[in-house]
Amino acid sequence: MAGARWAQSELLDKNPKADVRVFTIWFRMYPGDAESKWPRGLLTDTRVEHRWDEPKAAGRWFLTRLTTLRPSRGGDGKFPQQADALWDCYLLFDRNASWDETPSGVLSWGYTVMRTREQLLKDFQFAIGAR
Amino acid sequence: MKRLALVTVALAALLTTAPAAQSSGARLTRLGGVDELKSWFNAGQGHPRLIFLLSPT
Repeated sequence: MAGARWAQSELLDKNPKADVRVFTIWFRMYPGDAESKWPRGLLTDTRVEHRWDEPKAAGRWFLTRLTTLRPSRGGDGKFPQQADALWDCYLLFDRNASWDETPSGVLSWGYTVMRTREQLLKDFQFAIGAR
Repeated sequence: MKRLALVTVALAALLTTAPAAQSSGARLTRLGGVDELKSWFNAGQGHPRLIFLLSPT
């Protein structure tokens, strides 16, 4: 939640013309989590799409493939321990990234969003500036 | 009464001239599996892409 709020204010609001595309996937990780708890007031930017992922398919998918991502701009590689899905996490990709078996062009990824926000900010600026 | 009318007119003017909020249309739909994410990803080539994996509380 704090990460989403930060991303809206520090990445999107401050770069209104950046041609970034954002996909936000929400799912249950805490006992009180539910689709009805979706914070509709967060990440309201028109460049953001929101999905509810009841089976945590995306989080599970990325958790089992983290070692294949090979981020070009580094990162500390920390991921949620004893969890069944990658969550509270960002993954940032460059313009040329494509996805065949696995996505290419990973600039960086980080867990948690707030813990790794300085790297995300730096790499976001790089991504929107690089052409 | 006159003051109320002025306030009403001012509010109406504000509502009709203010730029549309950048937000508004956010909606939540069900993810159609990793394949939907992959399709969105590949459709966005040429743009930086950012994926967030989050829980709602």
